[in-house]
Amino acid sequence: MPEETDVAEGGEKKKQTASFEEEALPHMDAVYRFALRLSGSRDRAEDLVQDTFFRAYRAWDQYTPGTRCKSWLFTICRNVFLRHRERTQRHDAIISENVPKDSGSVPAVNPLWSSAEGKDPEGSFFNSIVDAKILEAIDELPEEYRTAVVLSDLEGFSYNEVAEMMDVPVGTVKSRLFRGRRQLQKQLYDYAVSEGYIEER
Amino acid sequence: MKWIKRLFGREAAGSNGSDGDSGMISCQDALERLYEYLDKELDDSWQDRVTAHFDVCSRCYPHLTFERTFLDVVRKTEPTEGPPEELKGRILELLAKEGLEPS
Repeated sequence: MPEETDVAEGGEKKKQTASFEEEALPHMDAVYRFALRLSGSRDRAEDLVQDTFFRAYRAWDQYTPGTRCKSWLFTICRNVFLRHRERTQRHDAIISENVPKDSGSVPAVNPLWSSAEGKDPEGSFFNSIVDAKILEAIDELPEEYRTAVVLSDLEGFSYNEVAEMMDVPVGTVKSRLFRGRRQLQKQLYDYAVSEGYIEER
Repeated sequence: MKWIKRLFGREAAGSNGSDGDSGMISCQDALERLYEYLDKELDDSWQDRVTAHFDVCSRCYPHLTFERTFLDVVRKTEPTEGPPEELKGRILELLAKEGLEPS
C-alpha cells in the first residue's frame, strides 16, 4: 500500500523538520561563536556554521533526542574545521605550534604568579583587560588548548562533556585546560605590562 | 582537636604527601587540584579537603585568589559579535532545499 507509506514518510519528515527547528536551530548563535573562535575569521566562521547545520540536518536521524544538542553541533563544527584545516595544510609540514605535548610534569605553582606577586598578587590586572583583548588572546592559543578553554570557560561545558566532544580522555582535557589557561595568563600578563596595568619588576 | 589540626594544618601536613587520617592535604595536593577545585570537578570529599587546606594555608590562599580572578574574568567574557542575519537566511534556504519546511 504505497499511499500509507507515503503518509508515514511525510509524517516522519515533518516530525524531523520540527525537532530540528526546535532543537538545533536555536543554537546557531552559539555555533557561530564557537566557529569564530576556532577559525579566527568571520568569513570562515560563516562557512563553518553553514556547513555544520547542513551536515547536522542530514545526520539528524543519528542525533539522540534528550542529549545536549549544543554539544552535538559543536562536535560536528570542530570536525568540519579540523578536516578543512587538514586539507588546506596537508602539504605544509604539519605545524609544530599546533601539536602541544600533553605529557611531562607541570609545576603546581604558577610561575606567572611569582612574577605578579608583590605587584598584583590578587591578579586584579585581569579585570582591566577588555573582552575583545581576552578573545584575541584565546584565539592565539594552539587549537587543542583553545578548544578546551573555549568549551570549558566560555561555553561552560564540564570536563566530561569536553572530553566527549574532543574525543580524548578526561585527563587530557585537564592537561590541555591547564596548559591553555597558563599560556593565556602569560599573554594577558604581558599585555597588561605593556599597557601599564601592571608594573614590571 | 579538629580545630587544632585545622589551625596548624600546614605544619601538620608538612610539605609533601598527606598526613593520612586527618584528611589535611599538602600544599602540593591542593595546588595540583586548583583548577578542578575552581571548576567544581572534584568529588565532595576532595572539594572539602581542598577547601580546608585553603582555609588555613596562607601560602596557598593567594594562588586561589589569583586563579579565581583570572577564571572569573575569562568566564564573563561576552562574544563581541553574533552571526549576521543574512547568514541565518542563507542557512534556512540551504536547509529548505534539503527538505526542511519552515513552520
